[in-house]
Amino acid sequence: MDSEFYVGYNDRAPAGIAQFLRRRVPIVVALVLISGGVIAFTQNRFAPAVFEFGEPREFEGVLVEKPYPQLKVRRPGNTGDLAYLSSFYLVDPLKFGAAQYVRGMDGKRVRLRGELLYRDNQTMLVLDPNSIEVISESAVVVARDSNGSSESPANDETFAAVIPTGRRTLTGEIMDSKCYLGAMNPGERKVHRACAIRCISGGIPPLFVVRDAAGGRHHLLLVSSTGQAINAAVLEYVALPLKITGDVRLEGGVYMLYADPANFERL
Amino acid sequence: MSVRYAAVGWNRQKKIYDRIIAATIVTYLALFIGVSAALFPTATAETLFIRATGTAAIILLHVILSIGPLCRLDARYLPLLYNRRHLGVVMFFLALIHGVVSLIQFHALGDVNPLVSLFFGQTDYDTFVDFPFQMLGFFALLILSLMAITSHDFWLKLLTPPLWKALHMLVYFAYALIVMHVALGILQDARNPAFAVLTGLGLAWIIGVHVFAALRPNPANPAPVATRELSEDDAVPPGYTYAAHIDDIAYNRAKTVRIGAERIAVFRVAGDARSENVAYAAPAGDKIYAISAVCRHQNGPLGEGRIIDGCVTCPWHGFQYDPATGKSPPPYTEQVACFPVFVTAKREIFIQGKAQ
Repeated sequence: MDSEFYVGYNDRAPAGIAQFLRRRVPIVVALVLISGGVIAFTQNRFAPAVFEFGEPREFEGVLVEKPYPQLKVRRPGNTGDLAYLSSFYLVDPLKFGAAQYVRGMDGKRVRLRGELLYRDNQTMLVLDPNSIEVISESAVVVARDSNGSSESPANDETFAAVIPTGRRTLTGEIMDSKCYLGAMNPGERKVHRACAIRCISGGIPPLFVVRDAAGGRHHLLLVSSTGQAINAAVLEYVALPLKITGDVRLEGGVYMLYADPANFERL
Repeated sequence: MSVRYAAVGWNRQKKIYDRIIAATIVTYLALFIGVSAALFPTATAETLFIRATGTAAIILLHVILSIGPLCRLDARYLPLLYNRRHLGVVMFFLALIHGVVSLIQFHALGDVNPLVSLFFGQTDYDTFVDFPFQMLGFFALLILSLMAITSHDFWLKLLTPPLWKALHMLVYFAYALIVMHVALGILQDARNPAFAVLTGLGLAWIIGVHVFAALRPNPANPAPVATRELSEDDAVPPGYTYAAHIDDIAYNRAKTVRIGAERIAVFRVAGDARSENVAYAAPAGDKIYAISAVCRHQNGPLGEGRIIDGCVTCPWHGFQYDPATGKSPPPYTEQVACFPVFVTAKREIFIQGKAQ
């Protein structure tokens, strides 16, 4: 018996070989597509983080320069569970912070444009660096080192039930706040680690995210034990499970964790 | 087979092959991105693109690595081997897009050069779980790049088939790097085990089909023939080694024998063969030829080939040789070695292991 022999540059494959492949190739194609479908369906759920990319809005508020640039906007009326101030971390459009754009503007009232990022109760603006317009030179008092329940009572109580202010040992992960809040989604954990290191190295505020037993996330802006920006000192700890002992304080509606990287513990 | 180099020598089979690849890849990417975007509206587009291209490349690599052993198990898969390079180049481009977009996404636009960030951004090289998995992907992509760049027959000829083949066998090392890239990367974060299970099944399949094919006797790579005691009646000249009995070989086909280090294809051709420069005409009019069983193109198994239009035709890519001279028909210039044949009155074939 002489079986069929395939020659690729002939116009047609022998009938038996062609029929054999007409049955096998669709199975291979189906397996390829099904595998992709399974991988797509079973991806981790993506965080409910939103980036209004390409849709800048105008904001007006008071600039805070240090430790990380923020725009403070007083919320109108009774703020309920929310802090009395909206705090928008300010960052550059790329993997940099916004310190260079707001130098010398601490306490000034400004108008600026930026693309909004938000997740949970955290907000950020990707700043249009050319849009900052100083409206008032006179320093507007922004509550700092408040810690006082009188400034934001409901928020303090809700939060304090999980992470009271004062000396605490917390377990969580250092995130680069820009990606975590939605510039990249997912913007956390190992696959994103290289980017988080790059972002924090470039001056984007490091956010320490603590998950409680009920799955709730709590966000603390990480600063040195003297309250300075701490970016360079935390790079080796970014996106890894960590135990940090430090002082939790509420400042202008933002929870801060004052800590010394020498005491960070990798888990 | 071509005399001059063209990017691709198109023919109907290649067009069908490439259309199926293109349709599958486009459907795959659309399906992956569409399903992901529908299920997870907050996912960023670059992430879905990185994942779609990365997973497509890995799945395609499994298909590519399966073709060789499947052809060994059933020659009817050979049409998939014929144009496998196109599949490889498509897989490389998917991997390249995955790599470049990831490099931009995760490492570029920051305070250091993206390659510096890639190599030195994370320094946990001394750990397993926290190992910078991107490096594994980078080196796999480097290997795939070398393979893709040298995929054309121009490079095959320049590097010589053995070196070219050795370079392209690095695909297995690249595959190992990619499995680790996935295992130490995305699988570290995955909460659903499905992707891990698929990766494990893929690895088990690739190992399994290769081992299974390797355990099957390979007629193209036989054990050296045993030396046979010769009787006076045989009248075999000195230096000749027994290869086969004529009746063991079908018309227009061959048996591969190994004499010393040489793999030799012994062809039996019916009397109407074109060439009259026959090595030996057996009493029944059959003609017996012995030529090197290693194709000059990609070391393909000529002993598994056929006589077509009077020429030995390689089963892999159809390269042809005149069995009497070992030369490709003009205008082609390839040539393989020919070996002297002696056939006894008992129709036993003896071959001299030294080429003519």
